[in-house]
Amino acid sequence: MTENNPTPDSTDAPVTESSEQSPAGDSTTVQSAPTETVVTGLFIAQN
Amino acid sequence: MTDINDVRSARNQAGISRRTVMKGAAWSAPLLVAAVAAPAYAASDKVPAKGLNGWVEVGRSCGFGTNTYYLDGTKGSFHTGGTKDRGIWLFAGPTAAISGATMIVYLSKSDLSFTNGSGAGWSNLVRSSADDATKPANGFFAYKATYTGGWTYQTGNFVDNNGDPQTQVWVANTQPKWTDDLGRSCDSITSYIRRIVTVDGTTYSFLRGPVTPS
Repeated sequence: MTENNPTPDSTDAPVTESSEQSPAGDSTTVQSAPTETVVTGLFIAQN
Repeated sequence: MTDINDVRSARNQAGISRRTVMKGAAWSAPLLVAAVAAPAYAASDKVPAKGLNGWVEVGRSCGFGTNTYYLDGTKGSFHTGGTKDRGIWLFAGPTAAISGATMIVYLSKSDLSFTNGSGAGWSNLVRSSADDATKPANGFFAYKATYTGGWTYQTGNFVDNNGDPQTQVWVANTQPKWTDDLGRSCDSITSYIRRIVTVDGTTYSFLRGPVTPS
């Protein structure tokens, strides 16, 4: 049973590789952050 | 003797003159479309002919570099007194003694700090908590400015702010212009303006609003 441990370890390896791709993850985080609604215009009335 | 008239809902009477709204196009040129409705005041809402008639543009500029809110009587001039004219004037005879011209502007924000771009004789528009007692509605804060400059008399066929004919007018020699930097917010702001002036010893006052640039 102990000899089977390497198999789960190898399964964990992709998780580690995923962490190393954090720059890509950061990019996703920026895109999902709340964004301001940019309203551009000249609003006019008179008094 | 003091005449006090409240003229409410100027937005509906005088109309929102122009509007441009663009989303996500920070540097696109604005498209301005004129759509000025004729005033239609109720009889009880008469603006005194000898009161501070006239029109200032109230505007909010967003996304063109600096976000600003402004009141500007210089974007035009007096011609006949119609709603397309800009500036401050009153209708009185040639010997009229005019004094105490004051504009109290009630705004829906209390922390505005205006820059005075007016002509000579106009003070800056500054917060006046002492005038909050006369606010027309909850949630509004008083700002005050005065005019001590000269006036020029003219005769002709004019129309007052009620749409009634007039033949004698005094036009302020310079016009008001106040601008506030809104920072990043560019929040919508609603205003009322109370205009006060004394002519030949009688003080005339009226309130017009609410007006929200949109």
